[in-house]
Amino acid sequence: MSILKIDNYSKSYNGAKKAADNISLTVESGDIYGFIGHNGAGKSTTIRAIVGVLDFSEGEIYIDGHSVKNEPLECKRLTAYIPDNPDLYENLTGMQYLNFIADLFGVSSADRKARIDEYAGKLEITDALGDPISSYSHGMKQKVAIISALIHEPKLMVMDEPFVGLDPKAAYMLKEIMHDMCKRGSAVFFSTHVLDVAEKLCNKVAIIKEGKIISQGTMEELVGEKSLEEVFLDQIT
Amino acid sequence: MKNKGFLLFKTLLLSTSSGNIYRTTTDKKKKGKIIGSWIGMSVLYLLLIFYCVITAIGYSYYGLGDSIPAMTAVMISGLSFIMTMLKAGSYLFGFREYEMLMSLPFSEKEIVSAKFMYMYMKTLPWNLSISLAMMVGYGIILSPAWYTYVLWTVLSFVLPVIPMLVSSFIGFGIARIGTTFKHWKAVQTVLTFGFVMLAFMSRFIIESIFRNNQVEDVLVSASEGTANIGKIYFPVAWFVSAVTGGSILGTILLIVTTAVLFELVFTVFAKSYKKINSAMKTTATEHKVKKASIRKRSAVQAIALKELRKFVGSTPYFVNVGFGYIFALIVGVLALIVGLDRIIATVVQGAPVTIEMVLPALPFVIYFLTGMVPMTTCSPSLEGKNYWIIKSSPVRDWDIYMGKLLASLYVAVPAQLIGTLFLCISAGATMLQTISFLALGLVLSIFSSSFGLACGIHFMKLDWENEIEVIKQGTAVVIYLFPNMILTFLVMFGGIFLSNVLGVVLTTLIAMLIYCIFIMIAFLRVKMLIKAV
Repeated sequence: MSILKIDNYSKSYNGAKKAADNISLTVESGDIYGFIGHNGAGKSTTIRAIVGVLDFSEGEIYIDGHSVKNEPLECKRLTAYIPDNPDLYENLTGMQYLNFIADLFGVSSADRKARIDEYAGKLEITDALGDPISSYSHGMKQKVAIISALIHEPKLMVMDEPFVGLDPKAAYMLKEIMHDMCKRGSAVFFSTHVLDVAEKLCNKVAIIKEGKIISQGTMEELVGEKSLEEVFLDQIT
Repeated sequence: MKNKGFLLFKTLLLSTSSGNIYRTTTDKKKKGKIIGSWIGMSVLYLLLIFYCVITAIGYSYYGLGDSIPAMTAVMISGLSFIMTMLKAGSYLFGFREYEMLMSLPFSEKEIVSAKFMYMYMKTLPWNLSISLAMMVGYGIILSPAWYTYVLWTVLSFVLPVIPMLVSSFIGFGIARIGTTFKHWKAVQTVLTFGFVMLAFMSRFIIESIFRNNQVEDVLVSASEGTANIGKIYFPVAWFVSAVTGGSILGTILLIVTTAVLFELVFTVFAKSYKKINSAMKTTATEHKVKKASIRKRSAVQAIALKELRKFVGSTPYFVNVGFGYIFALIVGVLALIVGLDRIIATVVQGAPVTIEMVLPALPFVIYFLTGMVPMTTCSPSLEGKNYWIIKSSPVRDWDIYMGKLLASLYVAVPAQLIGTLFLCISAGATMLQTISFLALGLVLSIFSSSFGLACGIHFMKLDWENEIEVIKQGTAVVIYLFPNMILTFLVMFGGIFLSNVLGVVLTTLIAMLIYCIFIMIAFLRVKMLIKAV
């Protein structure tokens, strides 16, 4: 069953060259889908359209069968988004921010407590949750963003460069969390430049170049006997 | 699930509440600064309240007490309209956490209306201070019925909303038009500027309409004038009828119209909200690097240039801070075209003031505009998250702040000098007087920028959520305003009196000397602060 379906999505800025050009892909339940490409290839433009931040006129994007254009709120309820550089409310404490997100998604007190305890423990940030976010390092902010994304058990988690700034243990825990989510029937779609991670973690991958998908499929189909790095460099150059 | 719009509104308030920061931070220095800003703000509020009560009592003393409700309504409405125009762009569009909020299950309408309510709450203490203080003054003299106090208090919360909505709607229109252009920032800045100028000049336009209609050459009495405004802008009339006559109809009309307009404006906003923000948050990447622009500069000049680019590249920064500079030039040009005597006559409304009387004050007239808010009050805070970039660069801290000072002078000095020169020409000042005024103008610009810098560094706030917080409402700006205004008034009026005895040129030299002393103090303070930062 497809959790994310992108149909012929295109986006250009102020009539200039297309940043995303006729992109189509499908992410199914249980998939960890890697989205790779050079800087400026169109990864973030696509991701921001999926999560409802960027408007677009060409193509369609569906999340669990709901159109991002026509049913944005329903789509957002099913999705969690972690940007590469999360802009959290700096003067709230980590706990105040997590409560805000939990309130927004209507998570019960018992569930939010259990989930915050679980994920904050795994990411080793429990003790800092009472401090203002402005005192956090980039990695700590990323951890709070990850917990906030998981607090409502999303069906689809979309991440832009999620491993940037995370310490090795937190990166490992995030990978574990991603696997757990997929075992429960959710899906993960993320962009990355770290090809080794993508190769080990993802079951599907798409390569984007100058706004166009130039290859996609299961990792086995795409890589074959080679490494993802070799395939990527072959296709990009 | 709680009401999502309200939840966001509450979170916005909490995230910028100094009380929350005070409670959660362990940084003693930060706590000290918060207490300092609370004390400073309390003093300002007390002064404003005192001023309003005295004004109301003064009006009553001269038999104009009846016009106080209308005057209050006009004052609150006018202030809310103009302040919103200066702030709406940053509060409602293109704010920092837009991406985070839009990815959450909020509708566009919930986001923009929560942001509007947040903006409303930020200005509410000022509006209430004015309105309730005027009510107290009115009550002391006229002893109105009990319902006046109840309705006045309740409607004081409602009164600012309509002008804020109208102003936001104009801001929305500007943003909508602006984002259809490739260089949307420039278009938006020019349009916003145009509307702010229009709003400022509307007072004179309205007055000229009334004069043409009827009263001619006779001063419109305060009560007649405010009644006339009520005929154009109905909420003023509704407010007056409610608080003076206990009119239920006036009360209902004001509340219902506000609610309907609120719903209408945000329904329209929501339709284009994502489109506008998408355009604001993204930039086409077709620009080619111009090799000619790659040129070696000194560190101070490089920082000044960076600051100037930031100044012209940010609509709220340019509109709020640049307003005084542009207005100074307009006043200068107007003086040349229509004559200083006519400008004086319009401003003082028939009072017996001549050019000779105001001659020693000419540099100060321009300085009231150029020295309102110098760039240096907010430029240290505007570094925000990127503070580390300049702090980690191999440049002395002194050079960093001198770069910011230089940028401020690059803008303030030409505006001050050109404005003063034009006024001097129009006033028929002698060559020696003109030279002394220009020299004083230069000194005033240096004072404004250096004192602004001292305030800017002392009350530097890097963890802002929205740049308008440090441009329009920053503690540094508020703390700068008051002493600067007092000093300017003292020296200006002192100068006017002293010039009768010592002559204009010598008085101007004394004024320069006074300001030079304050410049030295400001520089010493800057030096101390830089060491402490």
